[in-house]
Amino acid sequence: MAVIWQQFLVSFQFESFFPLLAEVGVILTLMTALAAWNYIRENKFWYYALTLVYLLSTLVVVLTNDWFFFLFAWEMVTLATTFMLAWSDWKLVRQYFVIQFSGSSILLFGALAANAFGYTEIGVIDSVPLQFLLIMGIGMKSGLFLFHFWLPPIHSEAPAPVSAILSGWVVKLGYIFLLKIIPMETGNTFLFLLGLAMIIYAGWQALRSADLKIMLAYSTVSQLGFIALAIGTGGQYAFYGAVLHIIAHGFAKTTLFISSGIWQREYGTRIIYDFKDAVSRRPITSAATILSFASLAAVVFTAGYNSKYLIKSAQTPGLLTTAVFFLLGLLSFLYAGRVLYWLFIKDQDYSTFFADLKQGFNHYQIYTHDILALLTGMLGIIVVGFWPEMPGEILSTLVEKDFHLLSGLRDILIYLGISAYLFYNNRGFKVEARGNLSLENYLQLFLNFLYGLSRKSVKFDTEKIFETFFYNAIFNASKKLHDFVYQDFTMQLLWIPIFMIVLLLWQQIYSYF
Amino acid sequence: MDIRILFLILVPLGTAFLIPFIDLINAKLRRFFVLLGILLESYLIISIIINNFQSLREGDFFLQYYLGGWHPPLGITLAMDGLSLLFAVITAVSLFLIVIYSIGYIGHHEGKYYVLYFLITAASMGVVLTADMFNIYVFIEMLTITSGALIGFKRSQEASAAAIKYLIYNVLAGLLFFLGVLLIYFNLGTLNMADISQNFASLESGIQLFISAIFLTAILIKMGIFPFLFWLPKSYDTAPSPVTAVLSGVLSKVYLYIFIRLFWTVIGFETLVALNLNVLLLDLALLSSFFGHVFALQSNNIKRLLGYSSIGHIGMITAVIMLNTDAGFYGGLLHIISHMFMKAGLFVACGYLLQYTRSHAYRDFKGVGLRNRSVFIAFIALLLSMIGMPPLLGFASKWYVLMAFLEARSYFGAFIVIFGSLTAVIYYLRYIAKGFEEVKLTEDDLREEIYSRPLLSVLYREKIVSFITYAYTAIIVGFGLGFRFFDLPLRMSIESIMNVERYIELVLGG
Repeated sequence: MAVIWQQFLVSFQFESFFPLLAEVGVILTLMTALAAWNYIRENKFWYYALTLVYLLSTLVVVLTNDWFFFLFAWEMVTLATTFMLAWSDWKLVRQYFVIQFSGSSILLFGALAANAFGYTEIGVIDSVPLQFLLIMGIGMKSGLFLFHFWLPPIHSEAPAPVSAILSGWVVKLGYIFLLKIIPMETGNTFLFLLGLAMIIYAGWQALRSADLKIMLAYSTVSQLGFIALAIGTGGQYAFYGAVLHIIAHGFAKTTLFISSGIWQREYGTRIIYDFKDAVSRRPITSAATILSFASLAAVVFTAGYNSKYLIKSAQTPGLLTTAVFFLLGLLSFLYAGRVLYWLFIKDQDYSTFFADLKQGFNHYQIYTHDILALLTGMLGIIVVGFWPEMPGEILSTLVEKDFHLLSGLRDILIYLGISAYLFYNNRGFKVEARGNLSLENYLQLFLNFLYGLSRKSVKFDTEKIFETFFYNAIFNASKKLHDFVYQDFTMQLLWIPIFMIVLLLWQQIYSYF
Repeated sequence: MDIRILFLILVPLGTAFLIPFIDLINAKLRRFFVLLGILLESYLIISIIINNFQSLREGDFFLQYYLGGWHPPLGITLAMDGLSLLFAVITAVSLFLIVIYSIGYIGHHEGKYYVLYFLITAASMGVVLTADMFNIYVFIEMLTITSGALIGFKRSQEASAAAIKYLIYNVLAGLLFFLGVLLIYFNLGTLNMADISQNFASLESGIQLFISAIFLTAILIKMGIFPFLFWLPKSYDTAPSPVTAVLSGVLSKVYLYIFIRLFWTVIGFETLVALNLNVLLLDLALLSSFFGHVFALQSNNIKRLLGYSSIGHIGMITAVIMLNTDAGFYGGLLHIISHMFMKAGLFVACGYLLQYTRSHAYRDFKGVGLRNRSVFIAFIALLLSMIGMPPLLGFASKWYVLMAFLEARSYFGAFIVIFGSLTAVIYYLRYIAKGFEEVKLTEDDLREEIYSRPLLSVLYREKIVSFITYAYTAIIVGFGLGFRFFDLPLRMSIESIMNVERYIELVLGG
């Protein structure tokens, strides 16, 4: 026991960006813990016990360089967050567990392969196939493109503080791991392309959602795309950009999910068209929402601007790069701006604003804990916005970096014009709220597609999909194999002479190969 | 010369013969006598470990005893090296826990049960300790006959059928083994293992092949590797739970011990390599593991399912041992230990959980978890260990097995390990979900329930039964955190497997 404990202590590395990231992780967890104090009503003790387990194991995941402790701690993170979902629905626990377990088995395989090829510690990995295997391994856990399918349903259905934990920090762990293994000089083209696909696809989906939490979950995928793209680019500033973006998006998304919980309690709905008089009901929550969306949309003087500028500046300069990043920025601005438009501008009556504000007719009580959590998030966004070099040595070269605030301001004004024009002409992109977004529906769609290849679509009983899919398809297939192997007793006994003959003639058989 | 290793065999044998006489005096005394026997056995093992702790540390542990004072090539020798000690200890621990469990579980024909049980104990100790081929054959036959009788212990039609099938298979295997022993004796003129090992290479390769093939067939039948896995699930299903725990937890491991002893110490792994049989065996064991996991998917009976998963795990262990590397043995032996405790614990828990159900079928598993919540949670912990969840012992051993496969670049093996975990998630989750389902009894159900249960199986002493289940769970969790505890014994055993010359020298010269 003593040996393993020593190994555990030795495996921590306090170099590079990782202590900084660990600190941010702690701050974000404390924010969610504050917000959960009034949101979680039952079994509070267990919730905080799980939060503690989660907090300690994320620290290990971020800081360790030993494969065993890394995988172990990540598994503990998964287990802790899995059981946190139980405050919403046990169904989510089961789905999340199955998905995360399959993800971690790929990761385990990748880690062992890396170990077998001589990378005994977590560090830069030069071989491209191994990089590919490990990217696939974290893909399911961190929602890379095509593996992100589970992320919107589960992040939107979870309790608000848990969504904040999941979206704000748990999915980032994969990218922090990639920061350790992808070589800074070369990057990884595959990761770059995946990131690009994620930004565009999930951004488009975020633009088309009417439900606040689903929109936030899709925007998480889209912003994770920026991180993947940055790590895939390679180069010093791209990596700094990725680190800053992990931090900036962590603060913004945690704040947004906490405030989304408050909005949900306030209005009893998550559909953004129904929010009226938001500012006069809850001014501080509104301010936090606006500031965090501004950070997502990369408005100047927020954290998001700095990180996205760094990522942009790390690309090879040229007209194509400028155009592509202009359009990507426009997409982020559009989906962030659209929610703000519906929440605070469209159909709002500000004529009796100050009277309403004094009256304070909010439905859901204003708790100090919530306010404190939101203020921490806002403070984080503003501090990183004005002071990107942050404490410590590692990002200190950013002091000399010119962030071109004026061109940023020019871009924001152009975006504002375009989006105002688009919102005015398209009635704010009003789309119907989608029906129940859940993994069962996805499975049903998939099965319908398969079935529809031969016939008309039929309705599957998705409640029992676990039962029907596994225990009719798999069950029957294995039953067939079983019946094929299990002949009657005399046939079974015949295996003995057959086996002995094979053994005796094995030399001859072997020589044929 | 240490007489205690002889007493390791004699104590259970004596207990078995004295139980009927104790019955004549007082039937209630029997329980205490049984406990006395098993405690004496444990005392012997503990005293052996304590007295030789220094030599264990230094790695030169070796004990032997000449029966009747006849020295090696002529007489029968009992020898105990690192590997035998490891197997003796874990077998004794498992048998100790299961005998306490049986005191609570077996409520009828106890006398016969304990006689058979102690004969199994004596035989498995004998197999582990002996250094003589014919002696091993005798003990194997003893194991076969007694376990066959125990499988048919319930005396239902199914149980008898399973027992007869088991006996046919295993007696055939015993015959083959006997043929092998005869061939060795006619060709080499000796039965001492060390002596055979010294001279085996001098035989011509045709005879070598024939003897290896016969022994392989016999041992594979006993272990339940692919072409011969048919007897296994059925007999696991129909036997009473403690017997199944012995079959899966102890007997299969004892046969694995014989496998290692025969093909590393006696025949020698170089012979298998020269005959190219190692490749065949590796792939066959992996195929068997694959079949075990796939068959478990279709099983509608919890005890049969556990039997299939045993096939999967034993196939995996055999394969990883066949790699013939240090890492392979480390993973294989650790998995032998963890699988022994996990599977015995699961069967023990099954015995408690299935006490009020009509049958072992999937539909009757409904609501089991709601009725016996705490035992069911222990059951789930054991299942998670089988799957390989981190803080439990199953994870540590699977980790080392996987490492061994990857180190040897055997990707099929690595695939099978991962595949086993994934399928295990599927087939265990199904039962866990069923266990938490609410039972809604209709009138028909009630009627069927009443008429289909001729005997109400209420446990004899419920507290003991559930206590042993918790004990197994505690072992799994405790050693899962402290699996480094096994480091010294495992290294010792690997040393004694790999260093055959030392064994020969000690047995013949010492």
